[in-house]
Amino acid sequence: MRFTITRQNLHQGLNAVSASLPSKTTLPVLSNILLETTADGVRISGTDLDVAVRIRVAVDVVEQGSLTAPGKKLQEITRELPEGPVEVSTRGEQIELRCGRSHFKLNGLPAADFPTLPDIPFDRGWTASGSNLLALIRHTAFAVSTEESRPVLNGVLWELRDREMRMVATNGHRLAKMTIPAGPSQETTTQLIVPPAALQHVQRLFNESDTVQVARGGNHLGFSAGGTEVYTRLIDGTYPNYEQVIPKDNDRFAVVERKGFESAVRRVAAVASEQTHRIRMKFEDGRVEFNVLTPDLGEAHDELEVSYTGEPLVIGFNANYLLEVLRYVGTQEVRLGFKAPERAATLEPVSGDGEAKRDYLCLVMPLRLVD
Amino acid sequence: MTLHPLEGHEDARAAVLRAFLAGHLPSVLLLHGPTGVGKQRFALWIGQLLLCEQLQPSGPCGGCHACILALRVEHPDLHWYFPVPRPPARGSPERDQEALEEVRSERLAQRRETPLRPSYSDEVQGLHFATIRNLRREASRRPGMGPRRLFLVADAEALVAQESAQEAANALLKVLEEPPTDTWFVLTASEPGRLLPTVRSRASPLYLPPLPVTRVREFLRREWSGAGEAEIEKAAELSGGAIGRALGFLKDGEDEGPLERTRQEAFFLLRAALDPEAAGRFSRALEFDPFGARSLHEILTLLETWMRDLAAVAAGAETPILNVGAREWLSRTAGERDLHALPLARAVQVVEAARERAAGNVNPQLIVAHLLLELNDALVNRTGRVLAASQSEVS
Repeated sequence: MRFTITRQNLHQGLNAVSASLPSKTTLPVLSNILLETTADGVRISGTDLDVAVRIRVAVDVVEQGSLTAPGKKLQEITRELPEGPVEVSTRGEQIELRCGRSHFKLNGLPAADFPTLPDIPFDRGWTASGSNLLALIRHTAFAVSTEESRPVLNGVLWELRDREMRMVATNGHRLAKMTIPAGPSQETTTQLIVPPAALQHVQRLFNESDTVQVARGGNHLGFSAGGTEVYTRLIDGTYPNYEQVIPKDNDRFAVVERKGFESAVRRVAAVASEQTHRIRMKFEDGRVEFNVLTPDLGEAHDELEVSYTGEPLVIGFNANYLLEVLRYVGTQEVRLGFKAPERAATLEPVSGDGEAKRDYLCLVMPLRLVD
Repeated sequence: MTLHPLEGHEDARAAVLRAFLAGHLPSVLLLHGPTGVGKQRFALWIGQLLLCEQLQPSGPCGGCHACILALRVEHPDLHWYFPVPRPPARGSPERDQEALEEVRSERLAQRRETPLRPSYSDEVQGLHFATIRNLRREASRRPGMGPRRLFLVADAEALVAQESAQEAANALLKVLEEPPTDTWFVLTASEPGRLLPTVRSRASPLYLPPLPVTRVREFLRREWSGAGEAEIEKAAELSGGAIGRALGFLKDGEDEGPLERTRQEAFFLLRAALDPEAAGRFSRALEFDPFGARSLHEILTLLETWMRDLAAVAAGAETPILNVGAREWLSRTAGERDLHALPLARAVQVVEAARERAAGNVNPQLIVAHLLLELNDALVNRTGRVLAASQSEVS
């Protein structure tokens, strides 16, 4: 294999791919990246078996070939190379880099040792605008569970419905759901459970202006735009019926100014128990009262003016879950919906002037108040 | 390095191949049989069978990309879990999981480097809860490269370190109860009785019998070029039809093989048991570490072979003995000490009781001191009385 590439292109390609390499692995070849020449350039691939990233770079190929080489080392070298063309060649299982007066030889492994990346039929997939895809990820992936007792909750549920896409994530205590009109017309709903690590790569590698091709091939899902491809293994299993837990009969509503509300929650949470982070809120006509009492620490009281309709309500929450959700709602005003102190509360954005309307809903389970 | 060819077990291979081709291969298999008989190698062969891209009527092709990776234990869908020593705690379950994965990774690299290794370890090892959490995390993903995948849980007895510690076994049980699609689990055990009944009931058992000693001998001649004929002969005889055990009796460079060293230790233990002086027995017990009782397992097994040989010689039986080079000592000892077969056979129960205590992680010095005391009682002090009683029972 022999080709010449600019330092910048090589460095960008390696940066994109190296992030997918595992820090520790039981398979030595996974510490390497795969370099393969094609008719019009070179493909650089890396994987930790959960996620794979492949970049295509247009270069002048002198001699076809392929080899795997230590990804992090190549990245460290190219980061410090002077600007200029880099000649990459292989000799046996060694890769050589020449740039000006710099010359490096690194031991590699045969390309055949590298896991076969999935064959994704992008021509039979669907497209999503980068802005939609990134918005969906940004607004839901934070809610994924990190507990390993229910593996399906360790992923984001991506539903492809008739002319709309929806992402849902939950850890059983709070849930985020967002729907965006997009995708092909289809009769049945396709459900994919995608690991959040893959979605982080999508966020990192694709731009809002990209048109992203998405397709499923066997056990994998692939994303592709502008010569960059991300593949991920899907999580096995059936996602719980989240619709069941979203309350439909909430009859008490509060509209709050997000920043002020967030700030008040954060203030009183400073005095909350470090185990439960529990805060108590009392909603009544025109105001909300915050109360925290932690016997060995102290107590907090705060009040805010809010617009509230319905019977007065006293409800407890884990302040962290509430703050996390408020951070992603995005709009200036947020609408909170309640039914009863022991029932799930909903948070939805209230679109003001100049704010995009979003079909976004978060749900937070309340905490029982003993006092 | 590539795995050595699977030796023997042709009937079991044919049964598994037939079941797989018919689409009936159970998703959880329990391979059981003597230690070192090739259960893990057989499980890896099943893995190759599941992953092969050009399956032949006779089994995996051995030449496709998947087969090459499987034979090097580098296929991403072939997951091999085995007991490892517990690394120092790192302060959180996640970091403990990481630490165990690092140990597994190191050991896996060693296994790849030297796939032919004795079935022996004097380390205290286990299949820990955090290891099974790693396995479950991996199992929740779909296969990485091929259409199917295999999880090999070797020496699955180690899931239950002791009766009070069943978390790992129960964690595995959860995934065995509802195996993910396109996923097979193979558990191996030389003592399947030590598995939780709930785990055993989820698995279809497949027994791998010992190989004929001639096959062990042929295998050693073919695959272990460094050993002399006499050494191979002795190792094959002592192996009990298990290649893994035979390897333990072969020299490790200049040193004796680990099983040969243990066999000699077992011999000294028997000699100490016959020592009329209690002081000698206690000093022998104190040579053991006061911790790590589970490493006594092997020495007790080999002590039983010595007792079995001594009983055979004492009875004047024509059957071959396992410790072939020791016939003269066995005959002399049986004669001088007036040892008889029946008390010797009964004394095996004492060794079994010691094994139980070792499994319960009792202090090894206490186990050995008690074992030697009881053996001495059974064989030396009361030999005449026991024999007389036994004869009256028989008549």
